[in-house]
Amino acid sequence: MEVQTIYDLIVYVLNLIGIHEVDFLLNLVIYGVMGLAVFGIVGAVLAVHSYAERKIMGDFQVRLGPMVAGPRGIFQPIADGIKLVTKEDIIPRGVDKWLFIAAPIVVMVSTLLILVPIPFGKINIDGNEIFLVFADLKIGILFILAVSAISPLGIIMAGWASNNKYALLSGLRAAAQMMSYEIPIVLAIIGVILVSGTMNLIEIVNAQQELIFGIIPKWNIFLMPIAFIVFFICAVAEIGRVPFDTIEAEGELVAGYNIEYSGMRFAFFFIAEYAHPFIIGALATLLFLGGWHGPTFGIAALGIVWFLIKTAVFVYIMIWFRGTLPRIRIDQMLTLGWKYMIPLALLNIAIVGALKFIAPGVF
Amino acid sequence: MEIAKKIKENFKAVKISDGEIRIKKNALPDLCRFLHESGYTHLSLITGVDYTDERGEFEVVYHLYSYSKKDLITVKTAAKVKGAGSKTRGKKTEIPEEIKKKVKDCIGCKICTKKCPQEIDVKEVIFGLKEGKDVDPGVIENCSECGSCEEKCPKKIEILGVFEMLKLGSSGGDSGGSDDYEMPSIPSITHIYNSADWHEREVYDLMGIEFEGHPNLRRMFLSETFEGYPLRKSYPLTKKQEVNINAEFEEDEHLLDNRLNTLQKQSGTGLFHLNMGPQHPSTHGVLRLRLLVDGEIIREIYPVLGYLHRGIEKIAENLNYTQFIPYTDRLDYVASMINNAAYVYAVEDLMELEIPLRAEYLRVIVMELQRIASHLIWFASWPMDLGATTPYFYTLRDRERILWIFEDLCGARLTLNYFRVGGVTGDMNDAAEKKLKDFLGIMPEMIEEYEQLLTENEIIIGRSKGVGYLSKKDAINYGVTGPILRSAGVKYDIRKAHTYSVYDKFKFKIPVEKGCDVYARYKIRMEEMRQSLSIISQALDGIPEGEIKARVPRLITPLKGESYSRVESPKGELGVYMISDGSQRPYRLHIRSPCFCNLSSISRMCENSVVADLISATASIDIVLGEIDR
Repeated sequence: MEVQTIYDLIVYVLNLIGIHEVDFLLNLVIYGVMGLAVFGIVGAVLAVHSYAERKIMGDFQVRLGPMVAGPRGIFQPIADGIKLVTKEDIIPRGVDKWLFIAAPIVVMVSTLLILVPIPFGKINIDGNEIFLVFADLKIGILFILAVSAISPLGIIMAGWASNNKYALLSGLRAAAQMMSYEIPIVLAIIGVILVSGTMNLIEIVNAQQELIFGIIPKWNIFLMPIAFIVFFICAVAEIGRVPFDTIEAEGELVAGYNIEYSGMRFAFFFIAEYAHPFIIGALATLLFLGGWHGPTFGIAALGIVWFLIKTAVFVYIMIWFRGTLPRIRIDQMLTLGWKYMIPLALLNIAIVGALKFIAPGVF
Repeated sequence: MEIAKKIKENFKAVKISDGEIRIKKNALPDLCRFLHESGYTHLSLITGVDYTDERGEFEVVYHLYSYSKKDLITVKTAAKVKGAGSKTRGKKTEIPEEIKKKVKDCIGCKICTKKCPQEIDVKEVIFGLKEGKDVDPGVIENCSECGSCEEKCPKKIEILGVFEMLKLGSSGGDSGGSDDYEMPSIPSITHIYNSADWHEREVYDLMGIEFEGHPNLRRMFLSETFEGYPLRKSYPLTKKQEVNINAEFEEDEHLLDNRLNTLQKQSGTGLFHLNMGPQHPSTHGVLRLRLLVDGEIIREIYPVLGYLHRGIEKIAENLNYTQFIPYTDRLDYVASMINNAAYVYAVEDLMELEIPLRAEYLRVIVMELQRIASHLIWFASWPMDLGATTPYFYTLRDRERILWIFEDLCGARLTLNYFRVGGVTGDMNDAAEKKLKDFLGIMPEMIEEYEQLLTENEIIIGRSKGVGYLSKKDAINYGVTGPILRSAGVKYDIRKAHTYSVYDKFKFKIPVEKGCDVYARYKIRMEEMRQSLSIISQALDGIPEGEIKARVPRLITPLKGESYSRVESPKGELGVYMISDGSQRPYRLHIRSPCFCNLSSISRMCENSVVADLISATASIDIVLGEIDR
């Protein structure tokens, strides 16, 4: 069965206003609108996240956070945006110019692409279920893994192109980090795929909607706690959030790969960096917390709220990490990845495989 | 003295008088080796004194300390210079045009002479200058620059301005600079004491004494292109010179490239040169470390100092004893009370002053408060360097309480200038006492809170246990003091070992750890804060009523002699070595900076460690560049 997506939603709206034929040109326009929507989501996430992070960090650190721009500082993200856009665009002497220009774009685009197969929820229109997803890919999760692996490449490019030794060290670290944390993430997700029997994110979510013994929701977090822990730790490491922020370790590498960037080019890195926690939160929600499932009281659209709440919890946890933990050293980080995370993920696969064989009813 | 006998047996040409050994320079390394073997393992300081005008020689002073005997020995040796001695003194000099212009209105009315509180015959000087007589600048040596002569002068002559010019003229303003004699030399003792390395470089840099056999005798603070040696008495005080930074960088680069090539040939891998600082978030100011790194692993470290060098020791030679106190605030600017104390004790030692008990109690209270404040700053910055931002805000919140107390005591917050020779400036008032009691009530809980954040944190343990390892032997040999020495298991705290002020009246412990690493230093500092709190509350209970300042003449003129006062600063042994020639200004003042000595061990601490550990280790030394560069 063909799943109805945002594309169909737009077509439905067009039908309502009397346009029934979708020709090639209109198709392009629709895809353009969807592309803008991805930007819009990222923009909204960026604004909310950066404001929330500052306020929450302020709360942790006995201070107020932004208070000047607008009431209680709510316009701070806008002020930041204006500042970054209007700043002078500097390309330092001695950089590898094309790589230098390309690097932020690579990071930004790969981040935006991750959002494409993520379903945010579903709504009911005329008895039709429409899923809020830009493209319903059969291999959604594989696509995400593939695309997210491009982002460190952009960081390595930036590190090399900057002609700066700190940036270079940061690029080297990014390479090591990507190599060692991609593997446990994939292994943890294999557990999920084994349980739900699909790589499509919507179907993975739907596989989690029942209840076990009538009370506990059949979320993957309860079925495979090990896989969840491995996934979450490795995902935080993969995006380089505290305590795994060795890539841009302020105290050691000053700012790491983005040391020579300013203005809009820096903003690209900044956007990617702030979109990542949301993406990781969303993925953890979809893979382990049953996506948009929750008590909806008959209104399907409430699922979006559940989805956002679950995601926000993860984002909050990541901010909490940042407020509490110091930075781990790069070699310790690699040790953690190779010596603990990969064996744990493998153990999880073994357990899930065995259980699926023994108790096929539950799994 | 037992050791004195032994030295006399073994060495011929020595003169020994109460803890001071004078020896010919050729026998110095042998004597040092002998002393090192007999337990004097801590080389506290090396400094030079310029006696070229009097005796035609430079004196080099070594302070050696034995932890087991708790005894300090001063070793002095001299380096004769050729062509020095009486140069321009006594020769009739031409009176400059500017002075002539200023004194031309003088009518010889003698009002100025009557008004002078120092009883200087001002009229004689000014009128003499007008008449074109040769005036001896020694007459105005006692001038306290009070300005009363200038105020009352009917002709409004700028008498102080004239005096200033006369003084500049007499201190060798244009006497030809310092290079009219050969560089004196002394045998180096770096092969016995590692700590001698930096000390000798400092003396070479500022005093111009060559140390034969020093492996790396280059300038320490000043630029390689700087001409002359500023701490020599003959160095013109007002001389300005431009420094060629580019030439210096090129020389540096060349030096490092050579080293890089040899290392690359040895190891067979490609290294590169990483410049950390002076603008780097984790070098705590303007420290610059040049690293040779193999990927992330550090092969060699070359610290570059002097970005904050202000020549404080030279400034001291040209100021009154009281005038210099505010300058000590700017040494270790997060612990200025303790700098004040070290300086003031040195002066009081020279004057043999009796200090009122209340003043001493107040001093102990503020010093311990300052120790807590300094450790709090350390506790803010070390986790910050490791990436934990939150402790910073907690500690600064609590440090603010200490600053409030200081505000009530002396009006200032950072550069406090609270100590005076003979006492302190402000008495404890009710407001300050209440704040202090509040602070004492709240602080133990807060320290608990900090510990909860970090002490058992797995990442902190991983980042600090075994990191920055400095064994007991190395620690002593590098002249390291303070929490770093105690983290290596040496129970040495000057407050106990050589009690100053009224520390003998209080009960407190010296925390010692055996870890030799960053984690041990962290534990020690936390415990020290608790001990300081206990000292403060004991002092507050026992503080007597009475005066807060002894009767001290307005213009301090200590007797001829020398003194060395040591205090336990939050960073280690802060010493002030002072030589007085009986005038109103110190003849020579040397500050033994604990950070300077502790930092010299960084290359040993971080041998073959990664860049991230260098940050952790540097932070654990708790450096303050104001004190290192002076």
